[in-house]
Amino acid sequence: MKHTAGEPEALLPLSPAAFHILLALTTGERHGYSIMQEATHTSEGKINLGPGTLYRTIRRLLDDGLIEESEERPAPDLDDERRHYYRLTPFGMSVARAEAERLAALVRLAQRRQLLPQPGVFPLEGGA
Amino acid sequence: MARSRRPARSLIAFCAWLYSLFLHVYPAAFRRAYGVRMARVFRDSCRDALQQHGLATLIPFWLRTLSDLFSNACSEHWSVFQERTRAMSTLTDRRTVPLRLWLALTATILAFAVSLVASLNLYLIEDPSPLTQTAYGASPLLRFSYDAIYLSALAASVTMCAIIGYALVKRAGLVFPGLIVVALLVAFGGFGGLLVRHAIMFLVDLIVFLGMALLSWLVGRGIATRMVRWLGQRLAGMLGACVSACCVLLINVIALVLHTLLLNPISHALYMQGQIGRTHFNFSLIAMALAFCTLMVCVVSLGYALRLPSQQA
Repeated sequence: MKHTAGEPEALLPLSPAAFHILLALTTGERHGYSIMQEATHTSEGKINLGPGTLYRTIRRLLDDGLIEESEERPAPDLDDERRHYYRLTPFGMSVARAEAERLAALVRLAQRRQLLPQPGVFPLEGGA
Repeated sequence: MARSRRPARSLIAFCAWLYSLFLHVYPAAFRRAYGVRMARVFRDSCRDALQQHGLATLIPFWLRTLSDLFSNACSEHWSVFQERTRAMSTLTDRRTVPLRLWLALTATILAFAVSLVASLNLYLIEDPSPLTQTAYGASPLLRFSYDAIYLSALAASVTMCAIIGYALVKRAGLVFPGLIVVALLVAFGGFGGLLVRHAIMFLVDLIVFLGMALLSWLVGRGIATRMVRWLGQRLAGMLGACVSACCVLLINVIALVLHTLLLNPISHALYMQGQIGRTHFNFSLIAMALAFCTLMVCVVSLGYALRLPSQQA
Protein backbone atom coordinates (compact mmCIF):
# COMPACT_ATOMS: atom_id res chain seq x y z
CA MET A 1 0.00 0.00 0.00
CA LYS A 2 1.53 3.28 -1.04
CA HIS A 3 1.09 6.51 0.89
CA THR A 4 2.49 8.80 -1.73
CA ALA A 5 -0.32 11.31 -1.28
CA GLY A 6 -0.40 11.15 2.53
CA GLU A 7 0.94 13.48 5.15
CA PRO A 8 4.65 13.02 5.96
CA GLU A 9 3.92 13.32 9.68
CA ALA A 10 1.72 10.24 9.52
CA LEU A 11 4.82 8.07 9.03
CA LEU A 12 6.80 9.55 11.92
CA PRO A 13 8.75 8.64 13.90
CA LEU A 14 10.95 6.64 11.55
CA SER A 15 13.06 3.78 12.81
CA PRO A 16 16.81 4.52 12.96
CA ALA A 17 17.40 2.09 10.09
CA ALA A 18 14.78 3.76 7.89
CA PHE A 19 16.10 7.24 8.62
CA HIS A 20 19.68 6.24 7.86
CA ILE A 21 18.59 4.70 4.56
CA LEU A 22 16.76 7.89 3.61
CA LEU A 23 19.78 9.94 4.65
CA ALA A 24 22.04 7.77 2.52
CA LEU A 25 19.80 8.31 -0.49
CA THR A 26 19.71 12.10 -0.16
CA THR A 27 23.08 12.25 -1.88
CA GLY A 28 21.95 10.22 -4.89
CA GLU A 29 20.99 6.78 -6.08
CA ARG A 30 22.59 3.86 -4.31
CA HIS A 31 22.42 0.05 -4.31
CA GLY A 32 21.87 -2.00 -1.17
CA TYR A 33 25.47 -2.51 -0.13
CA SER A 34 26.32 1.11 -0.77
CA ILE A 35 23.43 2.17 1.50
CA MET A 36 24.74 -0.18 4.19
CA GLN A 37 28.26 1.27 3.94
CA GLU A 38 27.00 4.84 3.98
CA ALA A 39 24.87 4.21 7.08
CA THR A 40 27.86 2.69 8.89
CA HIS A 41 30.09 5.57 7.80
CA THR A 42 27.73 8.44 8.70
CA SER A 43 26.83 6.91 12.06
CA GLU A 44 30.52 6.38 12.85
CA GLY A 45 29.99 2.65 13.10
CA LYS A 46 27.04 2.84 15.48
CA ILE A 47 24.52 1.63 12.90
CA ASN A 48 25.33 -1.75 11.36
CA LEU A 49 22.54 -2.72 9.02
CA GLY A 50 22.51 -6.43 8.34
CA PRO A 51 21.07 -7.68 5.04
CA GLY A 52 17.82 -8.67 6.74
CA THR A 53 17.24 -5.31 8.41
CA LEU A 54 18.32 -3.49 5.27
CA TYR A 55 15.93 -5.21 2.89
CA ARG A 56 12.98 -5.42 5.27
CA THR A 57 13.29 -1.68 5.77
CA ILE A 58 13.74 -1.06 2.05
CA ARG A 59 10.64 -3.12 1.35
CA ARG A 60 8.64 -1.02 3.82
CA LEU A 61 9.99 2.23 2.37
CA LEU A 62 9.08 1.04 -1.13
CA ASP A 63 5.57 0.11 0.04
CA ASP A 64 5.13 3.51 1.66
CA GLY A 65 6.34 5.28 -1.47
CA LEU A 66 9.33 6.91 0.23
CA ILE A 67 11.85 5.39 -2.17
CA GLU A 68 11.65 3.76 -5.58
CA GLU A 69 13.80 1.50 -7.68
CA SER A 70 15.84 3.18 -10.34
CA GLU A 71 16.37 1.73 -13.79
CA GLU A 72 19.38 3.91 -14.52
CA ARG A 73 22.95 3.15 -13.51
CA PRO A 74 25.20 5.98 -12.31
CA ALA A 75 28.15 4.40 -14.11
CA PRO A 76 26.97 1.52 -16.31
CA ASP A 77 30.44 0.54 -17.47
CA LEU A 78 31.81 0.29 -13.93
CA ASP A 79 28.95 -1.38 -12.18
CA ASP A 80 27.29 -4.77 -12.13
CA GLU A 81 23.99 -4.49 -13.94
CA ARG A 82 22.39 -7.04 -11.60
CA ARG A 83 22.49 -4.56 -8.75
CA HIS A 84 19.28 -2.81 -7.84
CA TYR A 85 19.51 0.92 -7.28
CA TYR A 86 17.14 2.96 -5.15
CA ARG A 87 16.38 6.67 -5.02
CA LEU A 88 14.31 9.01 -2.89
CA THR A 89 10.89 10.08 -4.07
CA PRO A 90 9.71 13.65 -3.45
CA PHE A 91 7.42 12.27 -0.75
CA GLY A 92 10.36 10.40 0.79
CA MET A 93 12.37 13.62 0.82
CA SER A 94 9.58 15.46 2.67
CA VAL A 95 9.28 12.60 5.18
CA ALA A 96 13.05 12.65 5.77
CA ARG A 97 12.89 16.41 6.24
CA ALA A 98 9.99 16.10 8.69
CA GLU A 99 11.88 13.46 10.68
CA ALA A 100 14.99 15.66 10.76
CA GLU A 101 12.90 18.57 12.04
CA ARG A 102 11.36 16.35 14.69
CA LEU A 103 14.81 15.27 15.87
CA ALA A 104 16.06 18.85 15.78
CA ALA A 105 13.14 19.92 17.98
CA LEU A 106 14.11 17.18 20.43
CA VAL A 107 17.69 18.42 20.45
CA ARG A 108 16.51 21.99 21.14
CA LEU A 109 14.40 20.71 24.01
CA ALA A 110 17.40 18.82 25.42
CA GLN A 111 19.44 22.02 25.15
CA ARG A 112 16.82 24.02 27.04
CA ARG A 113 16.79 21.35 29.76
CA GLN A 114 20.61 21.59 29.82
CA LEU A 115 21.09 17.98 28.84
CA LEU A 116 23.13 19.30 25.90
CA PRO A 117 25.26 22.47 25.70
CA GLN A 118 23.61 25.52 24.11
CA PRO A 119 24.81 26.28 20.58
CA GLY A 120 27.79 28.63 20.69
CA VAL A 121 28.37 27.98 24.39
CA PHE A 122 31.36 25.78 25.08
CA PRO A 123 31.56 23.98 28.42
CA LEU A 124 34.44 25.06 30.62
CA GLU A 125 37.06 22.41 31.17
CA GLY A 126 39.48 22.07 34.03
CA GLY A 127 39.27 23.17 37.65
CA ALA A 128 39.21 26.58 39.26
CA MET B 1 49.59 -13.07 -3.38
CA ALA B 2 47.49 -15.20 -5.67
CA ARG B 3 47.87 -18.13 -3.27
CA SER B 4 46.58 -16.03 -0.33
CA ARG B 5 43.59 -14.77 -2.33
CA ARG B 6 42.39 -18.19 -3.34
CA PRO B 7 41.48 -19.47 0.16
CA ALA B 8 39.80 -16.13 0.92
CA ARG B 9 37.77 -16.38 -2.26
CA SER B 10 36.71 -19.93 -1.55
CA LEU B 11 35.96 -19.00 2.03
CA ILE B 12 33.74 -16.14 0.87
CA ALA B 13 32.03 -18.46 -1.58
CA PHE B 14 31.43 -21.00 1.18
CA CYS B 15 30.05 -18.33 3.53
CA ALA B 16 27.76 -17.04 0.79
CA TRP B 17 26.52 -20.55 0.08
CA LEU B 18 25.87 -21.06 3.80
CA TYR B 19 24.03 -17.77 4.02
CA SER B 20 21.86 -18.64 1.04
CA LEU B 21 20.89 -21.80 2.90
CA PHE B 22 20.02 -19.80 6.00
CA LEU B 23 17.82 -17.56 3.90
CA HIS B 24 15.26 -20.36 3.87
CA VAL B 25 14.16 -19.29 7.33
CA TYR B 26 12.44 -16.32 5.69
CA PRO B 27 8.93 -16.64 4.24
CA ALA B 28 9.03 -17.81 0.63
CA ALA B 29 7.57 -14.62 -0.84
CA PHE B 30 10.13 -12.40 0.87
CA ARG B 31 12.93 -14.77 -0.13
CA ARG B 32 11.84 -14.72 -3.75
CA ALA B 33 11.72 -10.93 -3.80
CA TYR B 34 14.90 -10.11 -1.86
CA GLY B 35 16.88 -13.33 -1.35
CA VAL B 36 19.30 -12.77 -4.22
CA ARG B 37 19.90 -9.14 -3.22
CA MET B 38 20.47 -10.10 0.40
CA ALA B 39 22.91 -12.82 -0.59
CA ARG B 40 24.78 -10.32 -2.73
CA VAL B 41 25.00 -7.75 0.07
CA PHE B 42 26.17 -10.49 2.41
CA ARG B 43 28.88 -11.56 -0.01
CA ASP B 44 30.12 -7.98 -0.41
CA SER B 45 30.17 -7.27 3.31
CA CYS B 46 31.85 -10.61 4.03
CA ARG B 47 34.54 -9.87 1.46
CA ASP B 48 35.19 -6.41 2.87
CA ALA B 49 35.25 -7.65 6.45
CA LEU B 50 37.82 -10.33 5.57
CA GLN B 51 39.95 -7.90 3.60
CA GLN B 52 39.97 -5.25 6.31
CA HIS B 53 40.20 -7.32 9.49
CA GLY B 54 41.30 -10.79 8.43
CA LEU B 55 40.02 -14.14 9.56
CA ALA B 56 39.63 -12.99 13.17
CA THR B 57 36.53 -11.05 12.23
CA LEU B 58 34.72 -14.05 10.82
CA ILE B 59 33.12 -15.27 14.05
CA PRO B 60 31.77 -11.88 15.22
CA PHE B 61 30.69 -11.19 11.66
CA TRP B 62 28.68 -14.42 11.53
CA LEU B 63 27.20 -13.82 14.97
CA ARG B 64 25.97 -10.40 13.87
CA THR B 65 24.65 -11.82 10.63
CA LEU B 66 22.80 -14.69 12.29
CA SER B 67 21.29 -12.38 14.88
CA ASP B 68 20.08 -10.09 12.10
CA LEU B 69 18.85 -13.04 10.05
CA PHE B 70 16.79 -14.76 12.73
CA SER B 71 15.32 -11.64 14.33
CA ASN B 72 14.19 -10.33 10.95
CA ALA B 73 12.92 -13.73 9.84
CA CYS B 74 10.77 -13.94 12.97
CA SER B 75 9.44 -10.43 12.39
CA GLU B 76 8.70 -11.24 8.77
CA HIS B 77 6.87 -14.45 9.66
CA TRP B 78 4.85 -12.52 12.21
CA SER B 79 3.96 -9.90 9.58
CA VAL B 80 2.86 -12.61 7.16
CA PHE B 81 0.77 -14.23 9.87
CA GLN B 82 -0.89 -10.90 10.66
CA GLU B 83 -1.69 -10.34 7.00
CA ARG B 84 -3.20 -13.77 6.67
CA THR B 85 -5.41 -13.35 9.69
CA ARG B 86 -6.86 -10.05 8.54
CA ALA B 87 -9.75 -12.10 7.19
CA MET B 88 -10.84 -12.43 10.81
CA SER B 89 -12.64 -9.12 10.32
CA THR B 90 -15.28 -11.16 8.50
CA LEU B 91 -16.27 -12.49 11.91
CA THR B 92 -18.17 -9.26 12.50
CA ASP B 93 -20.12 -9.59 9.27
CA ARG B 94 -23.02 -11.90 10.00
CA ARG B 95 -24.14 -12.00 6.39
CA THR B 96 -21.08 -14.06 5.41
CA VAL B 97 -22.01 -16.78 7.89
CA PRO B 98 -24.98 -18.94 6.87
CA LEU B 99 -27.63 -19.90 9.43
CA ARG B 100 -26.86 -23.60 9.28
CA LEU B 101 -23.32 -22.85 10.36
CA TRP B 102 -24.49 -20.93 13.39
CA LEU B 103 -26.69 -23.91 14.30
CA ALA B 104 -23.83 -26.35 13.87
CA LEU B 105 -21.50 -24.18 15.90
CA THR B 106 -24.03 -23.73 18.70
CA ALA B 107 -24.66 -27.49 18.86
CA THR B 108 -20.95 -28.19 18.97
CA ILE B 109 -20.29 -25.64 21.69
CA LEU B 110 -23.10 -27.12 23.77
CA ALA B 111 -21.74 -30.62 23.24
CA PHE B 112 -18.28 -29.42 24.16
CA ALA B 113 -19.46 -27.70 27.32
CA VAL B 114 -21.46 -30.70 28.53
CA SER B 115 -18.78 -33.25 27.79
CA LEU B 116 -16.01 -31.05 29.20
CA VAL B 117 -17.87 -30.53 32.45
CA ALA B 118 -18.54 -34.25 32.69
CA SER B 119 -14.92 -35.04 31.87
CA LEU B 120 -13.52 -32.62 34.44
CA ASN B 121 -15.98 -33.93 36.98
CA LEU B 122 -14.63 -37.43 36.48
CA TYR B 123 -11.09 -36.24 36.98
CA LEU B 124 -11.84 -34.08 39.95
CA ILE B 125 -13.58 -36.79 41.95
CA GLU B 126 -10.86 -39.05 43.18
CA ASP B 127 -11.59 -42.06 45.28
CA PRO B 128 -8.50 -43.48 46.98
CA SER B 129 -10.33 -46.66 47.88
CA PRO B 130 -8.63 -49.90 46.72
CA LEU B 131 -12.06 -51.14 45.78
CA THR B 132 -11.75 -49.22 42.53
CA GLN B 133 -9.27 -51.79 41.26
CA THR B 134 -11.75 -54.50 41.96
CA ALA B 135 -14.43 -52.58 40.16
CA TYR B 136 -12.19 -52.13 37.17
CA GLY B 137 -11.45 -55.80 37.06
CA ALA B 138 -15.10 -56.63 37.25
CA SER B 139 -16.16 -54.35 34.41
CA PRO B 140 -13.80 -53.36 31.57
CA LEU B 141 -16.63 -51.21 30.27
CA LEU B 142 -15.92 -48.69 32.99
CA ARG B 143 -12.56 -47.73 31.64
CA PHE B 144 -13.88 -47.52 28.14
CA SER B 145 -16.65 -45.15 29.16
CA TYR B 146 -14.20 -43.11 31.16
CA ASP B 147 -12.06 -42.70 28.06
CA ALA B 148 -15.01 -42.04 25.80
CA ILE B 149 -16.38 -39.08 27.68
CA TYR B 150 -12.95 -37.54 27.87
CA LEU B 151 -12.41 -38.01 24.17
CA SER B 152 -15.82 -36.64 23.30
CA ALA B 153 -14.83 -33.35 24.89
CA LEU B 154 -11.70 -33.38 22.82
CA ALA B 155 -13.59 -34.20 19.63
CA ALA B 156 -16.05 -31.36 20.24
CA SER B 157 -13.23 -28.89 20.75
CA VAL B 158 -11.50 -30.11 17.61
CA THR B 159 -14.68 -29.66 15.63
CA MET B 160 -15.20 -26.17 17.00
CA CYS B 161 -11.76 -25.23 15.83
CA ALA B 162 -12.40 -26.74 12.42
CA ILE B 163 -15.68 -24.88 11.99
CA ILE B 164 -14.36 -21.56 13.20
CA GLY B 165 -11.20 -21.90 11.16
CA TYR B 166 -12.73 -23.01 7.88
CA ALA B 167 -15.99 -21.15 7.88
CA LEU B 168 -15.57 -17.93 9.83
CA VAL B 169 -11.93 -17.08 9.51
CA LYS B 170 -11.63 -18.86 6.17
CA ARG B 171 -7.98 -19.58 6.80
CA ALA B 172 -6.94 -23.22 6.96
CA GLY B 173 -3.64 -22.20 8.54
CA LEU B 174 -5.44 -21.17 11.71
CA VAL B 175 -7.36 -24.40 12.10
CA PHE B 176 -4.50 -26.65 13.01
CA PRO B 177 -2.74 -24.45 15.58
CA GLY B 178 -6.16 -23.82 17.09
CA LEU B 179 -6.87 -27.52 17.05
CA ILE B 180 -3.66 -28.28 18.88
CA VAL B 181 -4.15 -25.50 21.43
CA VAL B 182 -7.68 -26.57 22.32
CA ALA B 183 -6.63 -30.20 22.47
CA LEU B 184 -3.85 -29.16 24.83
CA LEU B 185 -6.29 -27.24 26.99
CA VAL B 186 -8.42 -30.33 27.33
CA ALA B 187 -5.31 -32.37 27.96
CA PHE B 188 -4.26 -29.95 30.69
CA GLY B 189 -7.68 -30.38 32.26
CA GLY B 190 -7.28 -34.13 32.24
CA PHE B 191 -3.64 -34.20 33.19
CA GLY B 192 -3.72 -31.53 35.86
CA GLY B 193 -2.87 -34.05 38.56
CA LEU B 194 0.06 -35.29 36.52
CA LEU B 195 1.40 -31.73 36.20
CA VAL B 196 1.32 -31.25 39.96
CA ARG B 197 2.72 -34.61 40.98
CA HIS B 198 5.20 -35.43 38.22
CA ALA B 199 6.17 -32.30 36.37
CA ILE B 200 9.02 -33.87 34.35
CA MET B 201 6.87 -36.70 33.14
CA PHE B 202 4.21 -34.18 32.22
CA LEU B 203 6.71 -32.23 30.12
CA VAL B 204 7.82 -35.39 28.38
CA ASP B 205 4.19 -36.26 27.70
CA LEU B 206 3.57 -32.77 26.42
CA ILE B 207 6.49 -32.87 24.00
CA VAL B 208 5.45 -36.28 22.74
CA PHE B 209 1.89 -35.05 22.39
CA LEU B 210 2.95 -32.00 20.39
CA GLY B 211 5.11 -34.10 18.11
CA MET B 212 2.36 -36.62 17.57
CA ALA B 213 -0.21 -33.89 16.96
CA LEU B 214 2.03 -32.43 14.26
CA LEU B 215 2.45 -35.88 12.79
CA SER B 216 -1.29 -36.43 12.77
CA TRP B 217 -1.79 -33.17 10.93
CA LEU B 218 0.81 -34.16 8.35
CA VAL B 219 -0.78 -37.56 7.91
CA GLY B 220 -4.21 -36.00 7.41
CA ARG B 221 -2.89 -33.48 4.95
CA GLY B 222 -0.94 -36.11 3.04
CA ILE B 223 -4.00 -38.31 2.72
CA ALA B 224 -6.15 -35.38 1.60
CA THR B 225 -3.62 -34.46 -1.07
CA ARG B 226 -3.37 -37.98 -2.42
CA MET B 227 -7.10 -38.66 -2.41
CA VAL B 228 -8.13 -35.52 -4.31
CA ARG B 229 -7.74 -37.35 -7.60
CA TRP B 230 -10.24 -40.07 -6.68
CA LEU B 231 -12.61 -38.40 -4.23
CA GLY B 232 -12.65 -34.78 -5.31
CA GLN B 233 -11.54 -31.82 -3.25
CA ARG B 234 -14.38 -31.68 -0.76
CA LEU B 235 -14.47 -35.36 0.15
CA ALA B 236 -10.68 -35.59 0.25
CA GLY B 237 -10.54 -32.58 2.56
CA MET B 238 -13.15 -34.13 4.82
CA LEU B 239 -11.29 -37.43 4.86
CA GLY B 240 -8.03 -35.68 5.70
CA ALA B 241 -9.66 -33.74 8.54
CA CYS B 242 -11.22 -36.93 9.91
CA VAL B 243 -7.89 -38.76 9.73
CA SER B 244 -6.18 -35.91 11.57
CA ALA B 245 -8.85 -35.85 14.24
CA CYS B 246 -8.73 -39.64 14.60
CA CYS B 247 -4.96 -39.55 14.97
CA VAL B 248 -5.23 -36.93 17.72
CA LEU B 249 -7.90 -38.98 19.42
CA LEU B 250 -5.77 -42.10 19.18
CA ILE B 251 -2.85 -40.28 20.73
CA ASN B 252 -5.07 -39.18 23.56
CA VAL B 253 -6.34 -42.68 24.16
CA ILE B 254 -2.77 -43.93 24.43
CA ALA B 255 -1.79 -41.04 26.70
CA LEU B 256 -4.84 -41.53 28.87
CA VAL B 257 -4.33 -45.25 29.23
CA LEU B 258 -0.68 -44.71 30.15
CA HIS B 259 -1.68 -42.05 32.62
CA THR B 260 -4.30 -44.29 34.16
CA LEU B 261 -2.02 -47.32 34.38
CA LEU B 262 1.05 -45.53 35.69
CA LEU B 263 -0.20 -42.77 37.91
CA ASN B 264 -3.89 -42.75 38.52
CA PRO B 265 -5.25 -46.24 39.12
CA ILE B 266 -8.18 -44.79 41.01
CA SER B 267 -10.22 -44.17 37.89
CA HIS B 268 -13.48 -43.33 39.61
CA ALA B 269 -14.89 -46.74 38.97
CA LEU B 270 -17.20 -46.66 41.94
CA TYR B 271 -18.56 -43.31 40.84
CA MET B 272 -19.34 -44.72 37.46
CA GLN B 273 -21.13 -47.67 38.97
CA GLY B 274 -23.41 -45.32 40.82
CA GLN B 275 -22.14 -46.24 44.25
CA ILE B 276 -20.98 -42.71 44.98
CA GLY B 277 -23.65 -40.10 45.29
CA ARG B 278 -26.29 -42.77 45.92
CA THR B 279 -27.71 -42.53 42.46
CA HIS B 280 -29.52 -45.34 40.68
CA PHE B 281 -28.27 -44.28 37.26
CA ASN B 282 -25.72 -46.35 35.46
CA PHE B 283 -23.12 -43.70 34.87
CA SER B 284 -21.21 -45.82 32.38
CA LEU B 285 -24.08 -45.95 29.95
CA ILE B 286 -24.81 -42.25 30.40
CA ALA B 287 -21.19 -41.39 29.71
CA MET B 288 -21.06 -43.55 26.60
CA ALA B 289 -24.33 -42.13 25.27
CA LEU B 290 -23.11 -38.63 25.86
CA ALA B 291 -19.85 -39.39 24.10
CA PHE B 292 -21.70 -40.94 21.17
CA CYS B 293 -24.02 -37.93 20.84
CA THR B 294 -21.10 -35.55 21.01
CA LEU B 295 -19.25 -37.36 18.28
CA MET B 296 -22.36 -37.39 16.09
CA VAL B 297 -22.79 -33.65 16.54
CA CYS B 298 -19.15 -33.16 15.66
CA VAL B 299 -19.35 -35.20 12.49
CA VAL B 300 -22.50 -33.42 11.29
CA SER B 301 -21.11 -29.99 12.16
CA LEU B 302 -17.84 -30.67 10.42
CA GLY B 303 -19.77 -31.82 7.37
CA TYR B 304 -21.74 -28.57 7.32
CA ALA B 305 -18.62 -26.50 7.67
CA LEU B 306 -16.85 -28.25 4.82
CA ARG B 307 -19.85 -27.91 2.53
CA LEU B 308 -19.60 -24.12 2.52
CA PRO B 309 -19.44 -22.62 -0.99
CA SER B 310 -16.30 -20.67 -0.09
CA GLN B 311 -14.49 -23.88 0.68
CA GLN B 312 -15.67 -25.58 -2.47
CA ALA B 313 -14.12 -22.73 -4.44
